[in-house]
Amino acid sequence: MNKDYIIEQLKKQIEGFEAKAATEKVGTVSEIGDGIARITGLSDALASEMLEFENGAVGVALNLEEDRVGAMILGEYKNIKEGDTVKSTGKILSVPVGENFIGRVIDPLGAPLDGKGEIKSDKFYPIEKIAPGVITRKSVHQPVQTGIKAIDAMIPIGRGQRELIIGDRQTGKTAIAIDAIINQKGQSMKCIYVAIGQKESKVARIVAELEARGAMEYTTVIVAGASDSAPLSFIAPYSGCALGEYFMDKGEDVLIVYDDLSRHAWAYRQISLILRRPPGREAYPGDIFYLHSRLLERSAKLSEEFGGGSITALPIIETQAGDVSAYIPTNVISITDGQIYLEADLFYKGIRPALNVGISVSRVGSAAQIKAMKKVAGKLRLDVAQFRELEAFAQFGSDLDEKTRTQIERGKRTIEILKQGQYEPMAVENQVAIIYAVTNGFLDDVAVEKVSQWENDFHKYLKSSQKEVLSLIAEKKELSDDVVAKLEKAIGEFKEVYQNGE
Amino acid sequence: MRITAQQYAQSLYEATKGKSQNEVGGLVEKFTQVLAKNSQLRLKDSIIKKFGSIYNQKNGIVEAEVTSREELEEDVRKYVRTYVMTRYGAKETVLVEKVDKSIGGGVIVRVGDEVMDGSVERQLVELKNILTK
Repeated sequence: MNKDYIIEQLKKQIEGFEAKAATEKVGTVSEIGDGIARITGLSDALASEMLEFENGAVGVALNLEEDRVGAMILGEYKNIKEGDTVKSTGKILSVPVGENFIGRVIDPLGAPLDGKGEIKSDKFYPIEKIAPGVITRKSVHQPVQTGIKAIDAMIPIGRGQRELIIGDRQTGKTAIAIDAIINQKGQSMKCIYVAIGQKESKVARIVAELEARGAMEYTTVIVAGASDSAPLSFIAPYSGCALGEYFMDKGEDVLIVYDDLSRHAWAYRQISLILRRPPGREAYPGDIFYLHSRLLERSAKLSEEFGGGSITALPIIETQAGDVSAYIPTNVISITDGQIYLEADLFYKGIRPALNVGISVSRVGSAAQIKAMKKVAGKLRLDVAQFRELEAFAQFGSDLDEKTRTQIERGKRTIEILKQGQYEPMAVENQVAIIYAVTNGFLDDVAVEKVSQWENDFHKYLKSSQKEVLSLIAEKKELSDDVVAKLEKAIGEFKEVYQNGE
Repeated sequence: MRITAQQYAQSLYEATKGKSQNEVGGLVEKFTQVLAKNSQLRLKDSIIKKFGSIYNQKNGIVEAEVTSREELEEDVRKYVRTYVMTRYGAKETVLVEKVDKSIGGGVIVRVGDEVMDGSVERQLVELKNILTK
């Protein structure tokens, strides 16, 4: 590139430049603090309109009062001072969206945080958008494979569903969401992970893990860290959803994780209290329900005429000491299409993922399960439920009748099979094979403590010598008689090899 | 119920409307007594301000703040005056002139919370934004 060319380009740009002196509405900052500014003037500001401060910071008008406006400031507010002018822009707050955001770590306004350079995009989506209506939707019918046996079998999630992950701190909530993202490789799914008020160290660890497993190729991470201001935490899930909507409008499937919505509610509570909105239960403002319902309602499965895209949401809620009847948990439980309930007790017992199968439900997901899984899962659910009932008697081992004892023994092995390590998602055909094996008593003669070893070797065996069965399940997606026969034969052969080997 | 400065100013305007200079003097004195009785004297500054804007509004007077690099010449002043009159449909225009060396040139006209920024400074900023993009 020579310098004449550059000069020529500049000349062109300058010639094309036209300075228009249009009138604009301005206001003056009269009060500022804690990320909230009160502004006089701005007589025709709109609700949630974007405002521009003198130092380039962006604000959003939240409270419109008789002679002043209460606005939250996104980002740095330290060098905004009383008396600064504020311009209204006439636009609703929008964030840049596009393909270039895939594989990046960004802040809620779309600025890169990963040091990989500027992200180019020419499209903007408003962060608040009315959710798709009844006409544009279709009922959930395709599965999201999380790769976690207990979830895919008993609490299935469909594309377009909203499934809450709820539990105390340190029970593996994020682990489930991250496993689900990792398992989306090759499933034509775009993933968005929104970290709200999370420790930066935790986010860094997650990004490193996603990168190591090749999951960043289809994932965007949006971070509003614990040290970022409350307004950023507040808009983070909405801007994540806006990015998701961009892909949904293109007919693609999106999985979005909001980690977590309790912190989101805290951020909104802080903003509302500083804006002097009246506090309600647990000091949350009156519109806290709408805050989450309007966000989660934007997850949808669109019908074919509207592109057939979908947004599946996995919101996360952290409970305090297992209290699911607190304000925010009950709100979000009632909004979502089911919940995955994690318990600290189970976690310490070594049952990981620490799912409480009894109270975890998926209200729509079973319509999205593949037929093969549906068939084996019904039996599995029953086995687990019966085991839970009889578990208390397990300690009287010798006094029990034969039938009860076999049920307890079966149950123990089933629980053992449902255990799964972190970052070890499993393909659906393998899940079907192992669940078929356990529910049909093929593991009854394996000692409980050897079950996980048996399972490992079984999958290895299937992979090396019985590929045909696996691909048959994956393709046909149902357990017809011939598939069942082949599967049983494979299990029988494996048992022979395995027992002889020992 | 608490009475706001706006309401005080409004009622003062209505009470003094069409009254002669002498009557107004008496009315204002009574008005301040009422204020003192309600212990609302601290509102006096904002009441004066509000009264000014109500008076201007009712009488079609528009106050425009004009910022320029140097003192305005008479024909520019006239031009700005007619601009404000046509834009805001005012019968009379009061120009408050300000001199600010930092704007580079041109004028900034401010009426209420509406600003028409025709300064060289702003144009340079806009040009910079376009060239750096």
